[in-house]
Amino acid sequence: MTILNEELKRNFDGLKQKADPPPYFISYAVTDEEAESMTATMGALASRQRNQARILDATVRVGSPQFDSSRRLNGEGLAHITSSTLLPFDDGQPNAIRQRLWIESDRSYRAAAQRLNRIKTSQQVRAQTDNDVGDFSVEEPQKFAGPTVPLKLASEEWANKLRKATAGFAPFTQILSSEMSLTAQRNTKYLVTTEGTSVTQTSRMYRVMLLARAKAYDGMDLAVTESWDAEDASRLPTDQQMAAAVEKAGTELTALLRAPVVDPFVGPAILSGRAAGVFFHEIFGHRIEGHRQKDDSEGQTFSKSVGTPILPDFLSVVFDPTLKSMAGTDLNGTYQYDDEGVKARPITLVENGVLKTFLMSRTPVAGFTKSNGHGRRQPGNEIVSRQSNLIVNSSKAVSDDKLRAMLRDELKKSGKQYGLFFREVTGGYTTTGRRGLQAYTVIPLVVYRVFADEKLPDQLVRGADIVGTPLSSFAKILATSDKVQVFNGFCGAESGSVPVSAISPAILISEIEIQRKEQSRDRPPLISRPQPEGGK
Amino acid sequence: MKRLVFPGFLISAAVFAQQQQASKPIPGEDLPLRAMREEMERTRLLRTAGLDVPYFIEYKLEDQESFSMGASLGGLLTFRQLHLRVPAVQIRVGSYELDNTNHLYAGYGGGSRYDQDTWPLDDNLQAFRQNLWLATDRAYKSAVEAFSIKKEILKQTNVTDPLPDFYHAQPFTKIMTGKLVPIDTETWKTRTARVSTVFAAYPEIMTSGVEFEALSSMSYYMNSEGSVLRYPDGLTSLRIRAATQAPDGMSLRDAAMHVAFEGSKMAGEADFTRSAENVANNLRALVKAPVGDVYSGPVLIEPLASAQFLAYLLGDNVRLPRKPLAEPGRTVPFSSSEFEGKIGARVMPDWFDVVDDPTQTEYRGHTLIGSYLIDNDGVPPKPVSLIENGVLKDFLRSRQPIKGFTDSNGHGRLIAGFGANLPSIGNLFIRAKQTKKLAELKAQMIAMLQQRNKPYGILIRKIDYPSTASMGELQSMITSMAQSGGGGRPVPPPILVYKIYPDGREELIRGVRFRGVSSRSLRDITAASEEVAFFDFVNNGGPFAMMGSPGYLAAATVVAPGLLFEELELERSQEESSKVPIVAPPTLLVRKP
Repeated sequence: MTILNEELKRNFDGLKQKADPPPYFISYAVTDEEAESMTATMGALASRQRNQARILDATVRVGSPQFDSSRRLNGEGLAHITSSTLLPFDDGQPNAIRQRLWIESDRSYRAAAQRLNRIKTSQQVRAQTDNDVGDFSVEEPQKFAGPTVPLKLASEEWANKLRKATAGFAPFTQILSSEMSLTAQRNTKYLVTTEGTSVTQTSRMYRVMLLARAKAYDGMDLAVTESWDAEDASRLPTDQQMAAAVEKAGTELTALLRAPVVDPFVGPAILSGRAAGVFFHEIFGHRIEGHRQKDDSEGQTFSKSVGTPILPDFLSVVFDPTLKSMAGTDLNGTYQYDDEGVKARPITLVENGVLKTFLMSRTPVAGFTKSNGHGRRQPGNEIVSRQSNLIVNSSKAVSDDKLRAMLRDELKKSGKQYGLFFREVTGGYTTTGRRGLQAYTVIPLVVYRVFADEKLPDQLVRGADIVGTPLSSFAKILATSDKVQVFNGFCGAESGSVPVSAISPAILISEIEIQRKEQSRDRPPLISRPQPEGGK
Repeated sequence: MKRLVFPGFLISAAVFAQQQQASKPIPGEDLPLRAMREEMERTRLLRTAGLDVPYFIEYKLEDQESFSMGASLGGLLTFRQLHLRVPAVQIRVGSYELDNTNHLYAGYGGGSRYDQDTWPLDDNLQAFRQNLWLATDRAYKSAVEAFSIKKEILKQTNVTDPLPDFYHAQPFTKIMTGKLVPIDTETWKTRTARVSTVFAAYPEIMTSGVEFEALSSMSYYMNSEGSVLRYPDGLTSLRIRAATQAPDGMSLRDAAMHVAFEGSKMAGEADFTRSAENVANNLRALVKAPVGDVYSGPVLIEPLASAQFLAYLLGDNVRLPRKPLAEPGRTVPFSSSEFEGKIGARVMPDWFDVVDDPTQTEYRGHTLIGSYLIDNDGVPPKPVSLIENGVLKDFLRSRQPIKGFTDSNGHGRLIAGFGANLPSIGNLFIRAKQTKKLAELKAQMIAMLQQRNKPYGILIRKIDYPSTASMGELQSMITSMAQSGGGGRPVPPPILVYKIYPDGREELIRGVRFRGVSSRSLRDITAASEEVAFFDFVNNGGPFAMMGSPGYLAAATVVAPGLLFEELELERSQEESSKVPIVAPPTLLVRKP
């Protein structure tokens, strides 16, 4: 921190004196990444890795907060105003740290100065947009030095746990690939800016993931996953929990292989809490990221909707990076300060169905000139507004049984034989660009038919693909369950991969459209599986 | 494009049980070899699938411990230790004459992947076999699909002078014992970091680093022709690089590399330190050196630079890459050898012989790092007499057939793409039968200057090969060279270039590159030195063998004399450079050990 501050001052002063145009802002963000991971398959340890890296992101801004080098040019993507490199991870070696801070400051300054020049030239020839809100919001400098927590992992013990757990897939002979992995990661972030901000914070997460994949006789690829996240290794799953999850995944995937393929369907459905969380994250969350309201190439779905209802009035959506856990699960999208050093706080995006604001970084958009602590990035990328912990609150919450009953009522009303229950889904990257179709990529993994006749048990189906437009599906939410579920994940977008969470109750939708998934053409293996030694 | 859809039938367990006759264990067989043998045996069942029949199946496994780290000014930037078991499966369908490879879509298709990209680290026969089984299935399906695409292309295309697709080769068996050589990571960590502190005493150097990389592996190979191999392998290298800018902004760099098969055979720390100091001193001198001018006249290339020069000019031309088949009208980016069609023609003065001999392990007390047991095709290398009395006689060959030859000479060491391996040099010996002392060559050059009334001649002491430029720098360098009026292909630029005045005085200059130089220039060598240099480097198929480029590695030693040219051309390099940093560099602490 001392070196960072010294070099920040030295480079800022030097550039202010000698450079034309001078910079008005410099920040150094340094991320210490420490990670350990291992994977096991079929009772054997498959891979094991330890990684350590310290990454510098140096940002120099030229111009003024009202008009600076980060302004986006027509038809261009995100402005590159950050210069990144590796720093030595042993603190006893200031030489390399100083030299690299110097080189990257110069590099970032040059790019900024050139850019400002280009923007000014292009700004002169093109008409000003209606309301200019500036390029960098003014925020209160922050001082914070959080505690550091060590990454503690009983590696040998965990290698054995994973070996033991994955051996449990042996009876499921139709599964082609199965694995369990453990990732332990600790990030310590340092940020200093010429505005006086100085923030140190550490985050830590342990994650166990299970993935099993198989191919149906017709070539369809199927997968089942399960995961556990914990801030402390003591809260990771026990051997019994993992064995049960393997058993369940094996049984479920085997059942999926034999399940009928879905028919195209339009009708009511229930999304489990986890599925609904992903649904909100992908379809709603990405569209209320502030910077998307500014970019002409983006869909700007909600740009003009502030103050108007965009969801049913019984739903509210809050983003709360300060929340650490929910329903017994540690949350992935938690932080104290965002990557621009703005203090994290809960933000109500939607109140009783009405859109109130956007997720904001320090890049202003029309009507919103301040950050609300959602400027995030993966080291090595530019900062944009990103999601944190998304929480769906409902004032029309009923029990799970009641929700099912409501689904059956819908079925009876429309004369349909069955509706759908999406138990597990996985997220993809949402296309928000104007050119692309505004279709969401929520990929269903485990889907059941729920019959109008309540004597019939639910039927597992495979090959469902959701179609439809995002906006319309929100209007069709009828009610929610009174229990929430947590989905922890990593979200990939312009500023890289950032950890996020989505917390939601199960939701009942009056109409959802599904089609058959486009199918892989290749068939299952031509030769049968190798027989285990001593096996039949 | 038509795609083949597979009929959905599974060869039943009953058929399998009938056909299964356990093959005999290979003497000295361990678990990976056993898994390979058992799954290779089962691939016979693929013949009953009713599709194109596989005629060649190859299994490889590299059980590799690797360690890499980078340090700058004493600080550790990267540190990575990995144990991986990396498999590779290749299947050819059709016949040696005509198969699924050597066309633009040879790697096409294959559907979803279920085999993991690495084998478990625990010895687990069932998991090994599962991986081979799934990888074989995928490789077979891609081969069948690629073959059907190729047959479609052939229907539309008139191929003149067709070549077979794969050379026959004798099976080769060698089962060696041994364990992975452990890498002493702690020692190398401190040593590498310490060497990197040399640069702290050179404030004019803007970036510097020392990278250490060690690979130690047990390699497995099996093919359906009967070859079975297990052999230990390894490569250790230490790379020192530094870069800075001249006062006018021109970017300058220099590097040094130490290579050995294993860590214990590496040079000592004092040698590394000396190399780092040399690199630093070279840059210190280059920063102050004047920019060179366009030049045409006598050039003396000292032995080390000559070995670098020939590693590039001969190394890239003594092989004949094959252009992949594509549909008519389709342009395929491809560059052939400058020696194509020149067998029997004079390519060097008649007092030169050039031999590539990977079977030699030592020469005049110097370990030759271009020696290897087998190439990527599983073929043991043969010595190849490439140039005899200045006349081109042969090419380095993999199992990819080329015009005029009928077999591999065991040189397929890199990846050519489209299913084939690319030949690469091992130990390249450039032998001159007429030589003079280096000092006499210098005197000869000065005599030429006086005769032609030239103010100075040029001496080249080091070339940027393997290049330490970044990918971006290389691209702009290569683009700018291609725009040169000199014509020809880009050639790595010289780093240490001196003007030699008639009184023998040397003056370092910077910022020049070769103009119009190609393998054709080698015909005009005037004289060669008695002194030879051993140049060890790692070839990797990257542009100018870019240092540290990932992928297959082919270590090589080039033994060459210094060369005098009566006439070579140099010109100013044309890359644009940014200005020097505005803020003064930070003050670095120099700690004396």
